[in-house]
Amino acid sequence: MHNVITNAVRGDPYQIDTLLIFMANMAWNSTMNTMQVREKLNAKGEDGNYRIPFLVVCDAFQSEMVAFADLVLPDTTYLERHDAMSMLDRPISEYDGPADSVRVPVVEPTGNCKPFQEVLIELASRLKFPAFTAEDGSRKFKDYPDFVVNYQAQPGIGFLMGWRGKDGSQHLRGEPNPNQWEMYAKNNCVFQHHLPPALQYMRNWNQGYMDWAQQVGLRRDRDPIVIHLYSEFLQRFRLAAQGRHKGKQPPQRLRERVATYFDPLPFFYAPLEQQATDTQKYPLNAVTQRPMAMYHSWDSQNAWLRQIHTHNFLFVNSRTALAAGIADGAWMWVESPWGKVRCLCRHSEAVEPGTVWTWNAIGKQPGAWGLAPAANEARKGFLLNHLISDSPAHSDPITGQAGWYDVRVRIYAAAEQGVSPEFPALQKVPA
Amino acid sequence: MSKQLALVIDLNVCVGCHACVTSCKQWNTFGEAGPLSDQNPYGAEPSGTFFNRVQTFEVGEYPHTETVHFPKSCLHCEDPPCVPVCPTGASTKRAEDGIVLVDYDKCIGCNYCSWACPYGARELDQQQKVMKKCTLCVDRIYDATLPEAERKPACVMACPTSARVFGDIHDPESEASRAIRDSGGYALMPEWGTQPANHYLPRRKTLKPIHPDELERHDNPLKVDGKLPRPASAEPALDDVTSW
Repeated sequence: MHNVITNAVRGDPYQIDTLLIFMANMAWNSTMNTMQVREKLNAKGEDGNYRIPFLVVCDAFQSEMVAFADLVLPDTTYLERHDAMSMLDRPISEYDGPADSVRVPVVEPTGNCKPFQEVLIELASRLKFPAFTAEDGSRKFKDYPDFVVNYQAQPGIGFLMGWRGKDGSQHLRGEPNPNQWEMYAKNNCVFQHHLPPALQYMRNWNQGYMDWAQQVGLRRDRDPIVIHLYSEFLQRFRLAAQGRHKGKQPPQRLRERVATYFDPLPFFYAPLEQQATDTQKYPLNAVTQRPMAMYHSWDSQNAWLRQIHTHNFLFVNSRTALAAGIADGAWMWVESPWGKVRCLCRHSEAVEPGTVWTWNAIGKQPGAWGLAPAANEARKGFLLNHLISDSPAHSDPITGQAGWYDVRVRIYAAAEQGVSPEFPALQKVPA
Repeated sequence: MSKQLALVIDLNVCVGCHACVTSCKQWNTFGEAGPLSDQNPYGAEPSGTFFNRVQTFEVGEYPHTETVHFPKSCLHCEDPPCVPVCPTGASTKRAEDGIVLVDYDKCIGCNYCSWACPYGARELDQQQKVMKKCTLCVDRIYDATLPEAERKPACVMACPTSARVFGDIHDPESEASRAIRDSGGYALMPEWGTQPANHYLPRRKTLKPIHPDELERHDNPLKVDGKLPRPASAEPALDDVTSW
C-alpha cells in the first residue's frame, strides 16, 4: 500500500483513471519519500495528461493531501458517524474473552459531510461489486449501518458478534439482527464474551478452547497451534524459487531474493536498506514514534493536543550531538542517502547513542489543517519521512511490509535557521 | 477526624500518555464554572488553562537513565499557603473534605495565591482573569446521578494504567492511605510545611535475580544440540537385577 502513488504513476500493474484516497495523508506523513511523491501526484505523461487523471480525497480536515485533489469529499469526524471495531479487523478483545465495539453518531453531520464509509458503500453498490449486489441485480445494502448488520463473512458471522439472531438473543454466531445497532447502543457500545476460566489458558492447545473456537467460527480447525521453528510454509516458497517445486513460481527478478530470505529456519541479516547503505557514511539509525497523547488522532486536529505537542525535535544522545558540534535546542541537519532535513535538536540521555528519533506527523505544511501559516507545526515541526525510501527493494522480504525504521542517517550542525525543506502556504478553502 | 480527599499518583506506573490532562480539560471546560479558555488555539504559540499537566524529564546519564512522567496539579495542602494571602476570601479550604477551591465570583485575579503556592499549581485564566486550579472534580465526586463507581475525578477515570488513586487520606483504611503506607508514598517539598494532601509513589525497581545455574540446561550437560549418547547394550540395567 505504501507504493500506491508510485505504482499509479508508473502504471504498475496498469494505468488508472481515478484514485480515491481516504484515511491517509499520502502527500505528507502517510508516505515515505514525501517530496517525490508530491511531485508524482502532479506528474504528467508524454501525452501531456496527468498520470493520475482524477484524484478524489475524503478528509474531515484541509490536509496536505486535500490540496492535490480534483474532488474533495468532506468526511465527518468520528462523532458524526457509525463505526465498528469489528472481530473481522483488529478487535478490542480482552484476555478473558473476545470483545468488539461500535461508535454511534452523537451529533448530526455538518453541512454536506458524509462518512467515508458511506462513500465506499455507495461506490461498491453502483459499480455492482458482487458482495454488494443481490442475485436479481439489485442493491444489497442501503448504507453503512445496514452493511454492518447484514453483511456475513461466513453464514452467521458478521462484523459484530454481539446480539445476533433475529431477536438479538444469540452471541458470536447467528443470523443478522435488524436491531443490532440499538442493542449495542443500549450496552455502552461494547460486547464482550467472557470465557469460563478453564478455556482462558494455554489456548494454543487447550482442547476445550479449540472445540469452542471452532463451534463459534473463530477458527476453522481445532488442531493445536504450534510455533514452527522450521517453517514448512516458508520452505515451499524457497523450493519454488529454486525451481524444485511445481506450481506457482516467483517472478524471475525476485527469484534470488525469495530463495535467500524464505529460509525455513530463522537467520540474522541486516535490513535490506542497511545492506545497501554505506554505514560508515551514515552511521546512525533513525526512527519515529507517534506521541501517546496523539496516538489515535492521526487524522484529526485538536486545540488541546497541539498545546501538548505543538512541534517536534530530533532527539539525539547528548554525546553524539556534542561530537557533531550540535548544541541542545540548535538547528541541525539530518541526512540519509535519500534526502536531508533541517530541524531542531534536543539532547537526550534516554536514547541510545547510535540512534536518533522524533515524534511523527507533528510537522505540517503552512496553512494546512486549518492552522495559521505561522503555526509552530509549520515553523518548527518537521517530518522524517523525507529521509525514507519507498523502494520495494527495501521492504521486508517476507511480508513486503514497509521498512519505516531501517533508514540510516548522519547529522551535522546547521549554519542557517528554520525548517527545511520549506513548503508554500496552502490557501484556505471556503468552508 | 475530618476528611481529606486527595490523589495518590504512582510515578512507577505513569507512562505519560496525557489522558488525565485531556480528560481533566474536557470535564472542567464543560463544567458549571465556565470554560477553561484557550489562547491562539489554531495559531502560533497556542496556550490555555489546564488544571493538570504532565512534565516529562530525564534523570541520569545514558545508559543509566530514566524518563519520568510527572503529573502536576493542585496538591490540596492541609495547610495551604494560597488561602490566607487571598484578600477577598475567594481561596478557601473546605472543612468537610479538605478540597481547596477558588470562588470565581470573589476572585479579582490579583495573583497573590499563585505567588504563595510553592508548587506552581495555579493558573490565571487569560480570558476570565480569575485564578483556576484543580477542584478534585468537586462537581463529579458528589453527583448522586452518577453510578457510584464513577464518582471520581475525571483524571482517575481516564488513567489507562491505574496510576491515579483517589480517596480520603485521613481514613487509614482507604485505598489511598494504604498506597501511601505500603508503597513509600511521599509529599512534594515537605520543607515548606504545607502538608500536601496529594502524594506520589516513587519509581521502584523490580529485580528478578537470575543465577548462572538457571541459565544452564540440566538435561544438556554436554551443551550440544542432539541426543545424549546411549549406554552400550552390555551395560547393566535394572532389568538385570530385578524380576518384577
